[in-house]
Amino acid sequence: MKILLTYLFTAFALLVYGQKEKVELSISPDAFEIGEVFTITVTSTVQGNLEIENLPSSYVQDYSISQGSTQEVDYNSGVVTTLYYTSYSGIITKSGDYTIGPAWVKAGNKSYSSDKVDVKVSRKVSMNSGSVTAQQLNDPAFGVIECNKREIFEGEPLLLSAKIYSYYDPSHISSYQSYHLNGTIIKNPIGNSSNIKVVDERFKGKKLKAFDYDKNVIFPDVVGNFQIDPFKLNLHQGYKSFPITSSGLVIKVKPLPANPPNDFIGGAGSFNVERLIEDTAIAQGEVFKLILTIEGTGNLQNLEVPDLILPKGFVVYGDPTVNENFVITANGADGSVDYEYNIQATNFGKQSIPGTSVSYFDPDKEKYIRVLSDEVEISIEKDKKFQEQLEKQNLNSETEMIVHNADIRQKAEHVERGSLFGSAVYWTGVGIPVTAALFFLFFTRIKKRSEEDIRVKSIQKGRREELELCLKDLNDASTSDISGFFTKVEDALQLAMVYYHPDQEDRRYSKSEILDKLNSSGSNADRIGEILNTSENLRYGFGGGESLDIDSMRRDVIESIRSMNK
Amino acid sequence: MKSFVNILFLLSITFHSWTQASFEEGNKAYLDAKYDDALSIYEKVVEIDQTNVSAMYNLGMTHIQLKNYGDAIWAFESVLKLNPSDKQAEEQIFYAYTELGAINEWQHILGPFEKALFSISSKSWALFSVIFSVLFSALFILNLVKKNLIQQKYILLFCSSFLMLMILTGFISYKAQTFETGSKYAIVTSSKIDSFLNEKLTSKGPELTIGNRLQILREDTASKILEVIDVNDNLYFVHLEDIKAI
Repeated sequence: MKILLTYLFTAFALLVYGQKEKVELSISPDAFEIGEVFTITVTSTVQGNLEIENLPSSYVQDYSISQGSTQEVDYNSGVVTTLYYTSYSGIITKSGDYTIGPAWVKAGNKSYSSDKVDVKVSRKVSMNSGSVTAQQLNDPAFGVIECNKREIFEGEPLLLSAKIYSYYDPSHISSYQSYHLNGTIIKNPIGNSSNIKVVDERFKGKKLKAFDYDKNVIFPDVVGNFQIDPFKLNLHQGYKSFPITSSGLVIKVKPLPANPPNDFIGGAGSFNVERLIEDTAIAQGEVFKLILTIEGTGNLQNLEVPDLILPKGFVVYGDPTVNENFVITANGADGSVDYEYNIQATNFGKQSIPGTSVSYFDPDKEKYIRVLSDEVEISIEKDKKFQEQLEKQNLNSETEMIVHNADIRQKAEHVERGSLFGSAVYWTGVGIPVTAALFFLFFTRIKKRSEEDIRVKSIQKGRREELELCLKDLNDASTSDISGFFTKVEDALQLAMVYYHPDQEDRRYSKSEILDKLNSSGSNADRIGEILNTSENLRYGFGGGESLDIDSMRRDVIESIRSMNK
Repeated sequence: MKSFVNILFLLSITFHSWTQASFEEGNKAYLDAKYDDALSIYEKVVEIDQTNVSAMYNLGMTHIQLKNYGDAIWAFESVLKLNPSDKQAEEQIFYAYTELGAINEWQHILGPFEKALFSISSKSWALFSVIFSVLFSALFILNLVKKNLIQQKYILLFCSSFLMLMILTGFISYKAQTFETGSKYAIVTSSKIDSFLNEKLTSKGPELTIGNRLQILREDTASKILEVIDVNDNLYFVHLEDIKAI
């Protein structure tokens, strides 16, 4: 027991002693362009030989090294600590992501190390100068606002810097007032502003001293002309100074094209999407984490939370946790944003989660780009208790109001479409039966008329025969039987009337009708009238039968009847 | 040999079986929540098989899942054009408008009576018309042939009724055909589009918002400008690419 306690105490003491000496490595800035000066600072509580591991081969150190020490007081314990620092400045000539460190401080036979530091070196962004007046060119020094683009899309990063030209070698600046951005746009400083590097440059054919200052990346949030007001400063050469007011600058901010895809997340730049599911073998009802990572360069800080579309059997709990891991570089926000979703698997079995798609706008290609993560299969083990609980919940929810039925139709149903009305088929279909009916009506009528004609002819034939027989009787009638003679005369006239009126039914005609008929046919109606009167006189006993010329009457009657058809 | 087999195989796939297979494939993608895949499949099916009302409905459902409410309204309006009495499509349109925050803005193109009539296709009405003409003619001929039947007056009654029905169904067929092929509508599927008050597009009208239904009066294919009226009978001119015709 004693031995164990001794070991533990020793280990604790070593741990405490080991933590007493510290070494810190810092790099400022941690994101910069190729050729841009940056500073590596090692701060330690112990003095010794300094060594920094993993410096890139493209690192070029300049001659400026500063060393010194400061003292820190811990006001709680009253302990005073001496910190030794060493700063190097230099440039990196190749773009990329670098991990520098650890830094080692060797004191005696002991070595103390720092943590490692990540830096991001981006490609040099070419800048365009703003306009310069002739007056400015004639001044000893002048300034322009530089930008990487004169026209950008909404959301696209814009790099701005103050560029100062002079005909003399400047020593320092004072009273600097930065260029002003209209609106509430945040400036994201780029590079090392404290370390100004003056270079020789040719500008409009003139050899000048020049340096960049106050480099910022901004993300204009307005569409249209974006005004940048001038910067001001005093440029010194020793005790002499010259006041500079630069020209302003107008940037055109174009709106994004209409009709963005439904999964557009507001990104402008170049991005990729990755998805990580921590555990692909889980139990039913278990909540697992799905991390959606959007990485790339652009306006990462302004992205909207992507909609996570999951199949049935997965429930997303709450809003995702957002972790931003990016740095602002000359090209915009560079790095990634993680969206961590908590998801519960409610079904069991092998479930496939389809890839998540997001769309962004690529300003270089000037179009929307859709990127898709991989599909993942999850194995979910059945949990009896959870399944029972789920089934109960489903039963209860069935009695509640159904908000939206998202079911699709499983069976393909077709709707009859096509123009039949007005087509030849339609008119044929309707026309043939109707025409057939009308034709049938027409033929029926013709047939009926034909039958009627035959019937009438037959009747007329009988009537004619009867009339001829009657006339023969009349012709043969004895002159002694006067009453019989007149009866035959009347019968003959009646038969003649019937015969010559084929369209009428058989009936007895009156005397006037007979006389009218005789008149109309040009017969001797008066003579027949006399005969009929005589007949009536004789029938009713009024006399007049003594001196009758029967033969003459017979002749006249027969002649009149025969002429009735005229 | 392989290509020969392939050709034979392709030949053996009939049009119907292809669309049916694609439709089922789209359904599977939808159920697997692969909505982008489902969308492209359904779009192909409805492009080729324009009478497949189920595919059009499922296309609308996919747009709903993808939150493309303007396109969803377009798809369900297309379903209603094919089958004006489709209750489910109406419910989905209401849902899409609810999601767009404009529930009271939608009304069926047809009134309830027309909706009921046009739920039967123009072709069917035309067929009814032909059937009634046959029945009318048959009874008419029967009436001529059999003069002394006791049911003569009933035959005449039916005969005249069939004549009336023949004319009526012919008229409905004509109206339904006009609705199916003559009337042209379109839906605004973007969040907002510009409208103009004159054909030269010099005078700007109000912005038309997603889900707006417009009746197309005239289409100038050369300049790609459409003369349209909105539900309040206001006349506008819009760009062809800004809207989606039903």
